[in-house]
Amino acid sequence: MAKGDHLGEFEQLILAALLILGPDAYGMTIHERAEKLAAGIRSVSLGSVYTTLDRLEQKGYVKSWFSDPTPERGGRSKRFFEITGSGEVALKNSVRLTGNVLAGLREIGGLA
Amino acid sequence: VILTRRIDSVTHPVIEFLQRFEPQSSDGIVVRLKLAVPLALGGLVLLVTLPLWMAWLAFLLRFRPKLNQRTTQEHLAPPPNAEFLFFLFLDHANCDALVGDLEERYRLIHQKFGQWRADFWYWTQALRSVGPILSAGAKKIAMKPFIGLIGWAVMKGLWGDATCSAALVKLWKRVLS
Repeated sequence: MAKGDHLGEFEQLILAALLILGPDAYGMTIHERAEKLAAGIRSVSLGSVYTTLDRLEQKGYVKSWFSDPTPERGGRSKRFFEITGSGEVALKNSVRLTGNVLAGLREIGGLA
Repeated sequence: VILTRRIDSVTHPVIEFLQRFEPQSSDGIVVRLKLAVPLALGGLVLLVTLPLWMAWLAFLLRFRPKLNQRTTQEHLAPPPNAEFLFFLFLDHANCDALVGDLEERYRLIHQKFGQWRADFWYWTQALRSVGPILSAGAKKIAMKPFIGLIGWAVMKGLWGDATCSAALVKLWKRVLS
């Protein structure tokens, strides 16, 4: 795994939300799910969700497409997101790394 | 009244200063100066804020008409000034999707809790979202001159100039070898 493939904390959160949501992942649902996952730890704004999704798309971890405009959204289209294969691999590696750190800390009783 | 006082407080010293060079100036000149200075100041303010006005015009022409496509729930429109924030700092496609997401939720809150709470929620979301969008944009913009500077240093070094950039390239080659 190259150095640039590491995920930040927020990227990890967004990719996890995408994986949980599956085909129903668009801006607002991702925002809600990320807020639930990060409840009590950090706040999540819709703007940061979109900028992170853009960054993840540039890295090739996420792909997106636009739906048809709907009247309940004021004639605007939804932007759906989906995690790619490389995104899943990056998330798994990132979670594994966190798991290793956690296990190491538990061994020395660092986290009660 | 406050604005007139402010304009007077700015124009009065300017007129006094100009009158020193025109000791024979009549009331007519003073009146003309009193008009000219605020007009010049107003013009300057307009010129400085011109990009913002142009962006607002583009927002009204290109983006806002989508709201007029609504037929049944016209009164459930989110605050346009908050939408304008996204229009300013996001590309068109992302702006469309993000504002659409917010509007979807805005309508639900509007129906459940009323306009005041929905507007408050919308503004809160808009202000919280602008920070990350701005910082991401600034990072992108800041990276370009930085990359350009490195590129320039490397190119100048490769052409063999006896400058510090050439020394840097030699050092880099040594590190690589």
